[in-house]
Amino acid sequence: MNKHFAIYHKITVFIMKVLIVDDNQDITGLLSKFLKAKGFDNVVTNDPRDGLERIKEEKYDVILLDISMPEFSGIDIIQTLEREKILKDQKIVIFSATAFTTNQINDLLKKEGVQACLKKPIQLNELLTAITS
Amino acid sequence: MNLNTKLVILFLCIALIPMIILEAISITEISDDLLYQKELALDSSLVSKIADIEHYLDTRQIQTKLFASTFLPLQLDLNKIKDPETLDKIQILIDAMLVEARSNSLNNFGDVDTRSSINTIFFSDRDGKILASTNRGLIGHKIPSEFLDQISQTNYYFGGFQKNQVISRNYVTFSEDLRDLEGNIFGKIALQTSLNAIEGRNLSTGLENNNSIFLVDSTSRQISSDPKVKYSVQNWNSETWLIDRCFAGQLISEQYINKDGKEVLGVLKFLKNENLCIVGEITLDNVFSPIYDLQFKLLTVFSLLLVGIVLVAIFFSRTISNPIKKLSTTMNEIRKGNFYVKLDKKSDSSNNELDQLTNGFDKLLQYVQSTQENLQGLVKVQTRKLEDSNKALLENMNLIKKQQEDLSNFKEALDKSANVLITDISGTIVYVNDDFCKVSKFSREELLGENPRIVNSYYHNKEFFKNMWETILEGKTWKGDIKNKAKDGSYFWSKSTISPLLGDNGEPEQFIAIHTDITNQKILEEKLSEALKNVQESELQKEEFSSMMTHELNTPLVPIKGYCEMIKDTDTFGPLNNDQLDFINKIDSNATLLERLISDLLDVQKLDMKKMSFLITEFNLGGFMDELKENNMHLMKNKKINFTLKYPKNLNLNTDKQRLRQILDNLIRNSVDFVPIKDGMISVEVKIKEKNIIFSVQDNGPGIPKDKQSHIFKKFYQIDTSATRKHGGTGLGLVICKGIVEGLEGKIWLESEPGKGTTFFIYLPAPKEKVVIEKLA
Repeated sequence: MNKHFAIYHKITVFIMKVLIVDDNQDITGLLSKFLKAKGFDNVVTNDPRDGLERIKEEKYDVILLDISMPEFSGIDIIQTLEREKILKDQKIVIFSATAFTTNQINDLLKKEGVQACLKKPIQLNELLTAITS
Repeated sequence: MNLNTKLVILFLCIALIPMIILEAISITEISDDLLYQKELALDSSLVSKIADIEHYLDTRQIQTKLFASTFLPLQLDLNKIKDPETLDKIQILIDAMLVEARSNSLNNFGDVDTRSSINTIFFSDRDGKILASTNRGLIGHKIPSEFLDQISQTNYYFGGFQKNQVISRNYVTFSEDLRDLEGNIFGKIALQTSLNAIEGRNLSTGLENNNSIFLVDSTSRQISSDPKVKYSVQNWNSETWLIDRCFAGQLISEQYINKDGKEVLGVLKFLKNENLCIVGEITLDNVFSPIYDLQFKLLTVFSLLLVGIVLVAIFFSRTISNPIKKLSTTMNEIRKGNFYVKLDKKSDSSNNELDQLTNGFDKLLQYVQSTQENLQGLVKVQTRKLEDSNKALLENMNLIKKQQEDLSNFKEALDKSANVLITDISGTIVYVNDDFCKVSKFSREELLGENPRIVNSYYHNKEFFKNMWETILEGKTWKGDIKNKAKDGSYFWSKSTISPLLGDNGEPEQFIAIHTDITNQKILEEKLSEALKNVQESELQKEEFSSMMTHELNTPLVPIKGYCEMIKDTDTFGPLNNDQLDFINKIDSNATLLERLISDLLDVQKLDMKKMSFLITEFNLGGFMDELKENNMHLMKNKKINFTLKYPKNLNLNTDKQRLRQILDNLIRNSVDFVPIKDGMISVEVKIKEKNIIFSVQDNGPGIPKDKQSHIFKKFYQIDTSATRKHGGTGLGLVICKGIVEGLEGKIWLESEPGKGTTFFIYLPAPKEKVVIEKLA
């Protein structure tokens, strides 16, 4: 099954460009290596503000966004994008440390442009499903 | 007229007038009654007398006829009577008649006859010449023509005759014509009877003395044998009109003056057959004599009563007037100024109003006397009191002085204990005490004439001072805590009471502010509130702790688990030998356990803090169960467990989907750990009872002993501690399950017997009606 997945992605999603926004370098490193191995083009940033700038500058096929970041959280980014009316153009997959969907996360998921929420620790096969669906 | 006389007259009037009226009425009644009775008596007497008279007249006429019939056998005629022999026979016959009549008179006519015996019987020729007579002296005389005329008319005549002369003495003469066989009148036979039976004297026989009854003829002559009453001339009465009326047939009952000049009650009756009037008279004196008697007696009684009443009246009036006189005399004495007059004191218990008046007056007098005495005493006392009050006044003045001193002492005390500030109506400071200067660090000279704003710290807003001014300008007292600023810039707090001092017109003239320094207290308060704030913050931090923990603990797990997964992905990242794969699997499974442990710990903490929130959504049971089956399938495959699910189709649930998953996952995982290695069986079933939902998770594990069932929902409890590692649980799963179910207002329980497996039940109540209604709307 994994084989099928990998082949599928190598062929079809070759051109997909993923932006990874997380303040933790270990996580961004893991995700970057994993996605690269799976054939995705990706850009990593550990600074949420930088992430926001990049989103504004360039169109990404998928944005992986950590919710819990110091100073400027994933929620702030989403709210900024919403204010600037470019949220609905995005495809954002958010990571939440909470095991269960809170009202806050639920509200985010209702917004157009927010694709899915993955709980930490992230199951990599779940991540792949979320990106490609 | 004095009171006595008036009273006597009053008594007389009251007593006599009714009596006189009563007497008058009764006498009138009695007189009428008497008159009526007498009238009745007279009437009945007359009736009986009339019967007598008629009887007498009838019998005598019949006798005359009888006598006449005795002449028939003689067969006389006009010629024969001229024969002296015949006349002798007639004479004999007449004599015999008289003898027989007198001898039989007792038998035939009763006592009437005794009084009116036949006096004379005579026989005359047709012309009235008497041919034979029992009174020989009459023979040869002619009956007077007047007499004859009368007889021929009525057959009887009240009167008699002697020789040629009619006499009116006590005679009634009855006559009868004698006829021959041819019917020619040849003579007359006449009976001359004495009138005793019907003359007045005899008619009155058997009546009361004063009654008289007599007969009157149509010429108003009274029929009487009284020699004094001249037959021819005597009118019984001058009131002939009464007689006229009587002869006219009227019944008469009248009062008039009779021939003797007396007042009489007379009753007149007309005897038609005899052409006579019978009169009964009774003198009124006689009638009313009982009344005169009565009047005399009454008069006597009245006189006695009069005397008695007068005496009684005099007595009573004296008993009333004497005490009054006495009182008035006493009053006069008192008016003259003599207050020491003595009154006869009466018994207090007397019911007599006058006695009570006297006593009352006596008491009044005594009161006046005592008042007189008291007054004199009072003047003395008042004089003494005046002196006393003068003394008291002096003492009071001393007291006032002392109070003034006290007041200044009080002011001093106030000055010492509090900060005092006084302003005028415009808010200019007119007085401050030393303490205020000390606290504010301003000198008195700096403060006087200034506005209290000089110590304003600008801690309070404008509303605060506006409210304060409005209160005190209304004349009310304001109380509050004020933060002030001292001259050197430090702050001081004071508990202030600001009162207006009202002027004569009731308007505030000054304001006095009494401050108590509460700076230290306020500092403490501030510290306290800060501490409170800290506590609240730490509470908040505690809440944030869970999310922080989640984040911080989970973050390192991301690369650990992620790299494990990547290493295991041999297709992408290259092959591993078996040992390496085993190691990586162990790292991965321990990381997973750690992850679960962290999650459980955080849940337990949330439950403890009651901060667990639920997200209720509507979802399809079928889809939910499919996911459940899929997610747990790898566990079942590993142990080859027979995993079955039974649930109603097309059912939607309203609850927290993820938490429900968590519970069921927990229960299923527990079952997986405990079912036998071979022929393990786990069955999940959903049932609906009256819209409430019951989940059950049944296994064929070893079961739980009864005595341990109650402990199973306790933290970190493991039935078999040695099995902890073997089962790899956190010991928190069921605790969390119970907490969540209860958070969803449901219940969790189990049924188990050792060797027969275990069944956990979860009961979730139907969504409340309210929710349903909202959805319908």
